[in-house]
Amino acid sequence: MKTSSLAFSENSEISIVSKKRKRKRRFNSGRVSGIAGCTIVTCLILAAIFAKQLSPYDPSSQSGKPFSPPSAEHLLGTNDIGQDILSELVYGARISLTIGIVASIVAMVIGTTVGLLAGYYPRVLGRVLMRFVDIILIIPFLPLLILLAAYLGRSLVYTVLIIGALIWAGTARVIRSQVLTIVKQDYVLAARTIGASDLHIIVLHILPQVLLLAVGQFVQATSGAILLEAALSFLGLGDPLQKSWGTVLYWAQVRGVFLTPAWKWWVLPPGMLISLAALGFALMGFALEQVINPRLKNNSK
Amino acid sequence: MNSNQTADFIKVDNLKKHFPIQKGLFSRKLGNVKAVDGVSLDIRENETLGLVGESGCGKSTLGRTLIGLYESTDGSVFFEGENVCSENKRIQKEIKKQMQMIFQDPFSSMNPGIRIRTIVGEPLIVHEKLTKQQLRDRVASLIELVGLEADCMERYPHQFSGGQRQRIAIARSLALNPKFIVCDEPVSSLDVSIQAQIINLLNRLKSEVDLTYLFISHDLAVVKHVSDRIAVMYLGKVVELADCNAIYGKASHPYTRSLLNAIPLPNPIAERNKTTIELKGDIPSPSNPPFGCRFHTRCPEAEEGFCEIKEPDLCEVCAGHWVACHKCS
Repeated sequence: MKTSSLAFSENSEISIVSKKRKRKRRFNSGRVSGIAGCTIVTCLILAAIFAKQLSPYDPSSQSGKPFSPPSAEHLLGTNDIGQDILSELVYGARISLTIGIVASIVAMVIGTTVGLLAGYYPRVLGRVLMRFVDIILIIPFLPLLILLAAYLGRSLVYTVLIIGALIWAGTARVIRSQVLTIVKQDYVLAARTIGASDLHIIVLHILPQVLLLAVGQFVQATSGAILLEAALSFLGLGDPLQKSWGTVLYWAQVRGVFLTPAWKWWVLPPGMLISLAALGFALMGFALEQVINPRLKNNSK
Repeated sequence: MNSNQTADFIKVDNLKKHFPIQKGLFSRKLGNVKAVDGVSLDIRENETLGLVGESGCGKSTLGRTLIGLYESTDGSVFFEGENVCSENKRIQKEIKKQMQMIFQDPFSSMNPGIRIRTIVGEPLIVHEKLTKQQLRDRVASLIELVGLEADCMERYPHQFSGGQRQRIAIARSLALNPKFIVCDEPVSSLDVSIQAQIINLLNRLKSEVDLTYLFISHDLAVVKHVSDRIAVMYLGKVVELADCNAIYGKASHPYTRSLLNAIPLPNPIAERNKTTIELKGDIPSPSNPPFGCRFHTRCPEAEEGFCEIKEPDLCEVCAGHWVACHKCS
């Protein structure tokens, strides 16, 4: 910062060079995070798909002595009923990632629809919807999540729906602001002159232009959804039949592992996987946003 | 359509368009921007009516309200005897097909993400159920009508220059065979050489397809070239309406005279010796127009105790020449 402002006051030529370098560095940072994020996410998704081939044991059956520490047979040891923890984690990737991705697809659909409607009909409907969005954003997530999960019951579908219903608000805001600027463009006015219906205008002129933005939001929301799912499962509010990373942590907590040496192979790996998955999607979203977001795009010009 | 009487092709009656100024949490209404404030005029079939005036005087708003793009605050517009602001959705849709618009900026008036085929064909997609092949043929003939090659259909807007884009915009406006087109400064964002091409194209189309234009512009030279009659607007009102020759020959309203006086003369000696009519100050705010004659704050001929008290009506000073000025009537 200091050098660039100095350069600006001294010599405009230098400042141009430093500006160029700055832009390059910024571009690279986006690219590096994009590559890193994609790598992480791809690895995790591959692990989830090929869980059967990758995991040494069936995670649902007893394959060793309970509470055994890591060994050549059980790389991450076994849990309280003798199930292989590594296999549990590999299979857990399926549940965690599926819930994360499906929940943010739900959020993307709700958010995009609300954003489109609020941006296209800003007067009455838009105001009502955006006040509702504000309420959703203000409500502390976790307590509401726990309440809803406890009330609706523990199942995969409900978990997805609850998470999806809580994280769409940000997407709706981003989409709405973009729609507000598109609606004022002359080509939308031209379509109105033709006598085109609202549906026609939304489908042909507006939706395609916000879709990319929605995808960017989707990737970022996935990161949050994975974390929320882990939190829910850790609290024992996930589907008891489908073991996700959060569920592994839940059982570790129930068996009091956090206070024994076993935390190193029972608590640390699922915790790191959750962080890794969230980080991967966040990095991807960060890189995508630099390409997509019109505001960031203008700044870099 | 049975009415072919030229007199009542389009009749604008005391048309008003006010935009509310809202502020604060509960959108308190602070006042109105009176963009168009009581305009009455008629447009004859197959003529070009030029509409000139300063920036912000309500030219574009008038054009847009005329074709029903904005809902009018008061007054009415009749197109071949039918009210444009009709409640009946079916009639409104029929009228909308007859009235089209060409926008000023050919870059923002086209969605950058869709192909020319869809841009030009959009009106047809909306209004007529055509097969793909029929649609292609219609679009191809439209594109050729405006002087472009039909094989550019598959390209995107950014692959064309400003003039070409404006031709495409014209092709789009012609798709539904309209009778009336509002040209909202269609050439002011183009190079001078391209301007001539587009104006000639518009003139050619006018006789070929029987069109009527409302030609909005602030370029007096362009308006002189294309118009049959000219309306001069000031602060939401028409102050003078007459034949093209009458406006340029014997303009009556002081505002029109000052506008014409501002055109530089080609002869440098004459230009140097010209007595300039310089207007004082800026155009007043359309949210709070001056009382009485709207022009009296800047008028070189304003008479104290008279012009600021009573608002002049648009009066016919001689056949077909209407002026809104106390001094002239």
